[in-house]
Amino acid sequence: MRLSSVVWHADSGWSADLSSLGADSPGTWVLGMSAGNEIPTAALGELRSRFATSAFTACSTSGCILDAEISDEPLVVTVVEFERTTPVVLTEAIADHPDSASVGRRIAASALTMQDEMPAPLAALLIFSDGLTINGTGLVEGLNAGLPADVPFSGGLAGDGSRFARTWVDDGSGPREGVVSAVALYSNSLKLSHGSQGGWEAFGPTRTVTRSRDNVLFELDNRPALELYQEYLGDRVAELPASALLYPLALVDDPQNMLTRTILGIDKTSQSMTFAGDVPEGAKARLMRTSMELLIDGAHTAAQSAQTSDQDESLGDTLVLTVSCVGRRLVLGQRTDDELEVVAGEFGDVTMVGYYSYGEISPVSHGTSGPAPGGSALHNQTMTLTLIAEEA
Amino acid sequence: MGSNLGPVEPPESAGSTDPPGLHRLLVRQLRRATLSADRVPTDPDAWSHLLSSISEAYADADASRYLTERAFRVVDKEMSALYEELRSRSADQLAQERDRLQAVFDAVGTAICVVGPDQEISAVNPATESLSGQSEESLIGIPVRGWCRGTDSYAAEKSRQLLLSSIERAVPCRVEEMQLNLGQDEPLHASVTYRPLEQGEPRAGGVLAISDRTEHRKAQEEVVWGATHDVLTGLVNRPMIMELMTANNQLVRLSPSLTAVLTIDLDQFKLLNDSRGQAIGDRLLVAVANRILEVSKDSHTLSRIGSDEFLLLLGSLTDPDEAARVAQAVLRALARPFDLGAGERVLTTASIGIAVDDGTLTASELVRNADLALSHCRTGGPGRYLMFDDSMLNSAAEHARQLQHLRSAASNRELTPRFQPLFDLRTNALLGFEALAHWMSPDGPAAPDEFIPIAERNGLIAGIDRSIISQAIAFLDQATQNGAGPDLAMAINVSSVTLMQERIGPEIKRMLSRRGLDPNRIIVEITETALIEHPEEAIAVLQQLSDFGMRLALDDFGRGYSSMTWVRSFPLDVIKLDQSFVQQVTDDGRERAIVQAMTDLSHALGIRVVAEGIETPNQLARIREIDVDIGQGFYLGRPLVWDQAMELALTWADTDLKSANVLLGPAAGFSRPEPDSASATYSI
Repeated sequence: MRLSSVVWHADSGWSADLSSLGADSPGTWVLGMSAGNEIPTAALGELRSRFATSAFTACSTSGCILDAEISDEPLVVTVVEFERTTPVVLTEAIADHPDSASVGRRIAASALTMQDEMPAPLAALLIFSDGLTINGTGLVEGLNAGLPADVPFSGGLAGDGSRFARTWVDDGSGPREGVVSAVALYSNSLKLSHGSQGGWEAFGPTRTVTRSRDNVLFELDNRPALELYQEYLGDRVAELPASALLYPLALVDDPQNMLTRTILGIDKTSQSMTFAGDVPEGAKARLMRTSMELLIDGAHTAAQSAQTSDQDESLGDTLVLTVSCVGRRLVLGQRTDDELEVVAGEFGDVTMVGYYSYGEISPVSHGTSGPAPGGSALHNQTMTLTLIAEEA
Repeated sequence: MGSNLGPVEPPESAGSTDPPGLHRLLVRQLRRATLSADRVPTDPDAWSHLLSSISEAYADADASRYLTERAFRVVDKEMSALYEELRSRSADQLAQERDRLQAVFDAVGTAICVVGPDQEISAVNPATESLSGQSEESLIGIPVRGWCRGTDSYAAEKSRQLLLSSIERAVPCRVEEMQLNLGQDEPLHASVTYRPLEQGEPRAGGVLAISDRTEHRKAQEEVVWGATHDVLTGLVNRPMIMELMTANNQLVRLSPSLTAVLTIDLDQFKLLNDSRGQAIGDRLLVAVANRILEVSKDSHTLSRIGSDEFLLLLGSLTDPDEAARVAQAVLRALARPFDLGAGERVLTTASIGIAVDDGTLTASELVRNADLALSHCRTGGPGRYLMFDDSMLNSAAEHARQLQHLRSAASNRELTPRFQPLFDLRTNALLGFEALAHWMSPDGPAAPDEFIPIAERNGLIAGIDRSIISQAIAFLDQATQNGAGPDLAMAINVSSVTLMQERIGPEIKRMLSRRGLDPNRIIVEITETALIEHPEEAIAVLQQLSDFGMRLALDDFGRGYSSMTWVRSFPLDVIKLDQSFVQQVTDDGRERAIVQAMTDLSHALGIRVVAEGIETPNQLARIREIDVDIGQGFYLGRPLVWDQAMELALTWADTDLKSANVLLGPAAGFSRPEPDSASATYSI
């Protein structure tokens, strides 16, 4: 497996000649991440032309990760040339399905169907989803339902800085809103490991979700949820909905397996808040808070838990697909690099590529730090890592 | 590292190094501003970039601090509000709980008292006020110990100590019954439950629940009273007086005093009860009890031990004559007329048996002796008393021995009939015989006055009656077959006990049918006793006998109550005048007038009259003058054994009464009986 990266900037263009990147082949996967306000349409088009036969995915983000640094460049590209793995991109439009779970089930079914044409079985899926119109919980449920237990999937939802206005995914046919793309990896030699950790702690009184619908929360303890958040945010209410990320919601019915929900948007008319996962009525919830130190420690823990015992030099190049939450970036500010540095420091000579998202997907259970019993889960406010390598 | 980075590579200046101790963020900011910590910046843009970064970091820190502080303030406010709400809700809930408990406390019927740390009453419910008759204010502060004063019973004292000790040790307890002095005139009998508020901690106090057991106890006492007293008179009953006597007996043994028992029996009480009704009888018994109590001392105990029988226990006597004096006083008291209200005025007498003990007899023996004395006393007539002596005990022993022999004789059919002739006093014709029971006891011929009452009291009489009747009918049958006149009659005696056995009529009828004898030849003799004791049943049986064709005779008429009511009420054919009339009719004009009147009245009712006990020619002459129909007695013919009677029956047809005494005299082989000699026969 060979890795190479390039950055595109509106003023200066590509940081390196595209021809210097890997070969365009069915074994190549091109991952593009964009953190700018504008969609780098031309650059994406140029890139798609260059890698016309390769698997192609790009998405909007809330910050691009390349190695131990974050950047808000318009386009950061990583080219992964697999030697014994075939990447295939599968895309479903959310609007074509009655619900998000159906999207997940359809993608899973397609990936499994396609393996008949592949030289190797389905080994894993990497998910890149629209970040605003999807119900992440439903999507994960559908994928869990459709995939065998030995096929892990991870990834995240696309971001839009702290604007929460528009997210997009490009599966090689151009950037689109309201789609979910999955990179299906067919291989007999793929080595994967996962890590995920938050660093947030619940505080304040335990509240009851008294009115909600799926991932839309209306009331906590019979009080408008948005009103409660506004009270906590004070002067920073003007920064809504991004500032609400500073107070994720913990669902605490099972104290051993607390679920974290991060905000995707607000509706001042209905005083409601939309979260990246379901907030069931009757659930017990607490607000969460963190500090920079807690977040950095969380990232370190995620990196430690992703270390596998058989990880050694023989794996060759390793890609660390890093998906962290935009809420973490809001808290960390200029110290966001700190959490990336502790991860990089843990792994040493690997390539960290990824982005800040509106939701992370990983098969790691936060309660047990091991594989989630029901498959993967949607996480929020976490540093989520997927280590990808091929046996030499 | 396989990455191939372009413009985003950090533009670090060659040769520069970060000085130790700088914050990693500042180092990063310097790097991004293309500056080095060890050189003063010369590039204004780079310097400006650095300052912007630092300023932004400060702003981030401010924002973070603001958020943290605000979060604390809001959380504090929320938690305070929650706390207040919780406290308010808790207070409301506590108030509701308290109100609910107070309602239960007030409504419950059991007296409940809260005991404070000093074992004083600190709260009471209305049931306690009601039970004690005192207000809450006056009850508060009273020490529980004050309610549990000393008691005279060991069990009550034990209960008291259990309760007080439980309160002092703060352990739960339940006392089923104890006495509490809650301020009423009488101590309260109650069951008490104590529950400490904190086990083992007396200072925490506790709760007392008191249930009134007074009514329960009263009911128990009533049951005990009912079991030991006579409900009518309120006197102690026989079991109780026996118990008291046993206790008294033990005391007597410890002191030189004497104990006497008087058994007092009303004469003719049954007659009064039957003739004037039970209500009058009951009133008389109450009045008699009161009269006896009037002449009794505190040391005397009166008991009603039977229908009309009283027992007066005299304790602490020094002289047996004291008992006699009390008996005299009782007899005097009872001799006065009793005014029983509603115009009912009754005269009665009593018989008294007295027994005295110096501590050597048991209670049963003492009463037995008094009963024996009473029994002997009765034979001497009414209104007397008799002191027990040892000869009576011998007599009683004799009585028991006789009973044993009689029982054996009855079961072995050793009692046989003797036949006493009955003569028509106008024609001198032999009308028939009366079959009389005869017993040759191991000691010789038994006096009927002794063995017949024994047989009656011990259930032997019915068997004896049947045996004699059966043999009498067999005699009549044989005599008829041998050629005796077809009108020859046989008088048989039926006791009151036998009469009440409904089978007796059909049984006699069957005996006659089997032998082909006309029932009209049988005269069934009954006594007044049967009519008095069971008049309704008696009249039914007598009517049945009459319907069967048998004739009915009332025996011993004039001996007892002698009411002409019987003559009118029962289908009688014959009355037999008691021999006491016959024996006095010769010298007493008054007796003669009575006999004459009874005879005339009977004749007017179509009833024939028999004179019993004719023992002299003079008596026979007088009886004839009075126009009595039939005669019977030793002068005319004493009771004969089977063969003798058979001979008489077969030969009399040619003989008349004029020569009766010749026929029945030495020429006939019979000896004249002496009037005062013990008879071996008895007319039953």
